[in-house]
Amino acid sequence: MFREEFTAQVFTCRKPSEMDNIKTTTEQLRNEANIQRKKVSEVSKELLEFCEKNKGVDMLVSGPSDQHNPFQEKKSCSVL
Amino acid sequence: MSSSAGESSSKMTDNAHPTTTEKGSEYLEQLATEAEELRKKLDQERQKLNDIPIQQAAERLEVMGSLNIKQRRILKGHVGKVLCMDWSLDKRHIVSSSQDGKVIVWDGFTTNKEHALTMPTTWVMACAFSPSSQMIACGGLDNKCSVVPLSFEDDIIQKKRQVATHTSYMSCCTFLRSDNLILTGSGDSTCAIWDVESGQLIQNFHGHTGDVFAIDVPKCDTGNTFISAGADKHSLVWDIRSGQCVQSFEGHEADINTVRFHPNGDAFATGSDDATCRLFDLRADRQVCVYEKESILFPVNGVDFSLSGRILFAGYGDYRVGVWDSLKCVRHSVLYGHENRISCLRTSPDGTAVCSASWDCTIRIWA
Repeated sequence: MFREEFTAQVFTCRKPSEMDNIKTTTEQLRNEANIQRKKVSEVSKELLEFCEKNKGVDMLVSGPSDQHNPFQEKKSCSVL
Repeated sequence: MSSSAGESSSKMTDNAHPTTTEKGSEYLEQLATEAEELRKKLDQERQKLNDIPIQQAAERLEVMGSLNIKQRRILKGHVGKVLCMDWSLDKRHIVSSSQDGKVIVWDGFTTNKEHALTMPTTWVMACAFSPSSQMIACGGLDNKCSVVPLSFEDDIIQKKRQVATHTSYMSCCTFLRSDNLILTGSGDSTCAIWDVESGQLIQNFHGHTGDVFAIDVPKCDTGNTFISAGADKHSLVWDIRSGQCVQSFEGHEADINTVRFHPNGDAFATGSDDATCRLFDLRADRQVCVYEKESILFPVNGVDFSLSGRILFAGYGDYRVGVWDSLKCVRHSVLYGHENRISCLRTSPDGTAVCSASWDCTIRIWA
């Protein structure tokens, strides 16, 4: 995140040690070993269905149709 | 006798130190081995479920036709790099913050500036609108998150209050369900939830091994989760109540700068310094898609979905907004306009427009 641009000005009190990090990582992996998972084909199907179902209300995909999009109209006159 | 006793005791103290360090490094090694084994096992498990790629499942879908998305508004007023922006839930107002310490509230319809304040810090990396639209939160290199109630009667800077303090810079913030709770992410590798009224820390989230750069809360916020991502290249899913990390996702090869939930709340997209965007799914517990092109070499600093999730917008360091078909995993088109790096990108709450902030000091609205 363009850290090089601002790191000189960063003031940090404490950074986690190597020990802290490896402890957290291992603990995390232990928990994750027991997760229930779905197949990619299944979740893809659900993502597809969600997109198709909501296509009509997605103005950026389907255009404004009968709904109006205030941003697609000219800027309203500001008071002079 | 006495001298030999003295010798042996001094020997003991000499030896005591190396032994504890040895034990420490042994333990460290043990943990590292265990982590390595768990990782292998997890990789195998996730690989088993990687049966059909999403692009193949999306083959039967119609290709997206031409989209009439153009630059509709340009918000000019910042004199420094714009680093962050957020939409108000009224789908009209926008708050933005910049490198020179300015925070501006805009009327997106008219492009008028409604409020402006100067923070006592440079690099205001984060800003957010409260759900009621009556308050904004912001912060950055001051390591703090401050809230400012918006009113036309008083000088609003007088009402500024500090809510959160991290031990390093605050990189991102968002209100959580109400004006009373705020979620922050920081360069100190933690995220935290704070009570806005009292400034009290409600919950702390430890688990990242590097700076946190981005957080997001699902739109249909019925669950009790949020996601965070950052310099450790991992995206973590958290249980808000327990403070525990429940899932972690890897794949990126460099810093993750931005993360956004899919409108279905079960998947999320990320953008990274490795020039790719990726789609991860919580139920599959793995990466589902990579959005990349050989010709794209620049970091992704902002991602967001259209209302149905079909389009994934990505703001790049090469000044362009990429419009990706999230299902077919191909780039549909490119939006040109910005004259410097894009730092942030957000779809409006009702999906009528996309807003991008840039180092060219402008904010642009595309619809």
